[in-house]
Amino acid sequence: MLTRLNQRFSSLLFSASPEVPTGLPATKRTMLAAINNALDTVLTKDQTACVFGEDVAFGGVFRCTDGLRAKHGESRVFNTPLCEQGIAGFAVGLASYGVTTIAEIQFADYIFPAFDQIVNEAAKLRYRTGGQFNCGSLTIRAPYGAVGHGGLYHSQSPEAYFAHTPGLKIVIPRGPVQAKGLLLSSIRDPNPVLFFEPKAMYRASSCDVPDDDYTIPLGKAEIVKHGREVTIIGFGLQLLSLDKAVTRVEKELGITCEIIDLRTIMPLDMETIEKSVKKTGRCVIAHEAPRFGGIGAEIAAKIQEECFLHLEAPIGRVCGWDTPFPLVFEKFYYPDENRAYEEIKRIVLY
Amino acid sequence: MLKALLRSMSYSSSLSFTHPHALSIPTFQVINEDGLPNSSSSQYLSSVNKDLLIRMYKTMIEVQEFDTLYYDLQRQGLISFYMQNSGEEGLQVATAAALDLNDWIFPQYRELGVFFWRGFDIQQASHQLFSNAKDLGQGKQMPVHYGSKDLNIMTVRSPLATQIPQAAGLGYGLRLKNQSSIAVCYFGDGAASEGDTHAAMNIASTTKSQTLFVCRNNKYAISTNMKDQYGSDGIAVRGVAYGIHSIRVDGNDVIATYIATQEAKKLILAGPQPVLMECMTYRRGHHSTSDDASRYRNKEELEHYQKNNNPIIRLEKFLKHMGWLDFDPVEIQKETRDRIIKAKDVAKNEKLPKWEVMFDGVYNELTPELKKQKGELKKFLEIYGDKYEINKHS
Repeated sequence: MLTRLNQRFSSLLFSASPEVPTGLPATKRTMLAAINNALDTVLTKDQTACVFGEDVAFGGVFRCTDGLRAKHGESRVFNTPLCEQGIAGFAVGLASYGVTTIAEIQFADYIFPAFDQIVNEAAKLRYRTGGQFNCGSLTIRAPYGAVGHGGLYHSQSPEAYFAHTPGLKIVIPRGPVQAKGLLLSSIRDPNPVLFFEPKAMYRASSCDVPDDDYTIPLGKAEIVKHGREVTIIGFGLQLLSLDKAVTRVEKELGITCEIIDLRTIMPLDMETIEKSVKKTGRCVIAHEAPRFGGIGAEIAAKIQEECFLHLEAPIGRVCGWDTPFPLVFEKFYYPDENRAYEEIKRIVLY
Repeated sequence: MLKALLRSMSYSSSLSFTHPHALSIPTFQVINEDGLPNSSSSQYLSSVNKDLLIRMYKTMIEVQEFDTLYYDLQRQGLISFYMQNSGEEGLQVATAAALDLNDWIFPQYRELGVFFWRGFDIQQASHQLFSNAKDLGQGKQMPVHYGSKDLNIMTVRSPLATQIPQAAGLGYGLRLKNQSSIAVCYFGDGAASEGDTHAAMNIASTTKSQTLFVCRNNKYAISTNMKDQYGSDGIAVRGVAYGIHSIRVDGNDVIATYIATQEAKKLILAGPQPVLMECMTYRRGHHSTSDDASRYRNKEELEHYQKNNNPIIRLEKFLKHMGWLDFDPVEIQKETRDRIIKAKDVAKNEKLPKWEVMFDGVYNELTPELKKQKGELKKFLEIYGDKYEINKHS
């Protein structure tokens, strides 16, 4: 899949978003450089902001924190011991003191030791204390998703576990421009945010990313392509497969598809989704995570609640199979453009 | 970096295993179980005075009487749940007395004396127990889950030990902002087994957080005695393993505990560096009102800690020894109980929080979905409100 990325770059992954002001001075940046730039911006403007996690000091295993320690100092950019529950707990405490806290979990696959601190503590702090305390200045970043050779433990998409927890926000960018704008919003949002970065995108080509400080709002999906016959919903790297599938299906069936990038998984922008599905009458949702209990299930449930009489077909889903993420079978597992094409076709011709 | 790596290795030609109890950490004590100063304790007595110790005594009585009343009220069905502090009142007030309001507290759930000492009064505590509209926590959590932003006391939570790495993080924040205050977390010998305890001490050690870890080793975690909880020489030795200055103290000796806490804070700020203090004590009460400790421990043990090693009695004896007992303990007990009963009546008669508050605080503001759900519940309550005693809510 990585080779497919190099062969043809989806214009969708590298498109700007309407909220980003045009004509600003910009630099070509990969997603990881855009993330690095966002972190640098925060560390520059907020003198007590901290970025920490495993191997963060030397630049991080994906280089997202490259150069930050030298520039901003060792008390603010530092390594933690190898302990996700410690990273998360420490981060909740620091954030509850009001410090802008950006914790890194090295791979989303390893976030589970931190699950208790995230769902029982971070998510619930404001609520359970009657608003006396909060850790709104907390952001936890983690690389997620398929990378071509990651297997069970370097490929997971855990957003559904966390989406089921009231009190968290979950944000997933599709490209460099969104990564910077959404990360800045996430850091500044007064609620704890999980920011999952599609690791396959880190180095995949680059595009113009404004040098200035800019934000893309949370809780708002983006219609990246307008169309009339079917609504396609995805996020992160899925926009690549969807873009290819849609190009093919539009040509072969003579229809137009509307593609929505969720950008924020939680809270969902149902207003944009409902408006679109009421217009098209058909919907396909795509995500890498396993089908059962994935966020596609929640979106499908909500769509049929609100748009039932507008639906011309069942709501389709293109997801990972209900197996752990396999290594040699990744090509069969991964919901790619062919699987998306087949599902879109099935729903359009229903 | 190579020099540091090489320096840290020292070789030995004789094969030997270090015994797990090689570092047998003694228990610091100033007054013995009869309330009399130990022979070499005189150097420490100047750290305390009559007013301080009397205030400690009176606060311990407040805790004791509050516990007694509310345990009974739970049994009568007036509140749903309660946890007593019996046996640990001493370490609670003694540690609190050595700190100030700029220090942050991360309690577990058996630290009422810390709350009272810092000014979280009996009335406020009563509101929380009744989950009424005046509860600072908005009735969201079970009884005894107190918290106070004004007093820098992080609200009690039910999951064990999660507060410990948070205290390490906040202690780091204090260091970052050059504050001469510390983050203090309390946890029991049971909670000390949780992964979060290990995680916290390790990260506090490497980041040099201004954090004081206070372990209340009260010998039981519900029914589990120390022998099933750990194989180490208690919890104090673990601090050393993480590179943390550690002390074991007699938690039922308020003077020793007070002094040790003062010195611990000085040591923390001098580093900066975290410190671990293990307070040896005993949980005389049940784990909670859902527990019956007679099922797993014997009367003999209980009586020993009731009579022979009781922090309140030991302090009373010391005050008498010093000629400082210028009040009648029975009078104090009665007067305290009256105050508590009055506060209970006020709390009991308050309305419960508005039902709408259930949706507040999930995020800083309601999301569209939460607004929608709140609207659904509103419509539902318009029909069924009375079946849910809606008039008890404000």
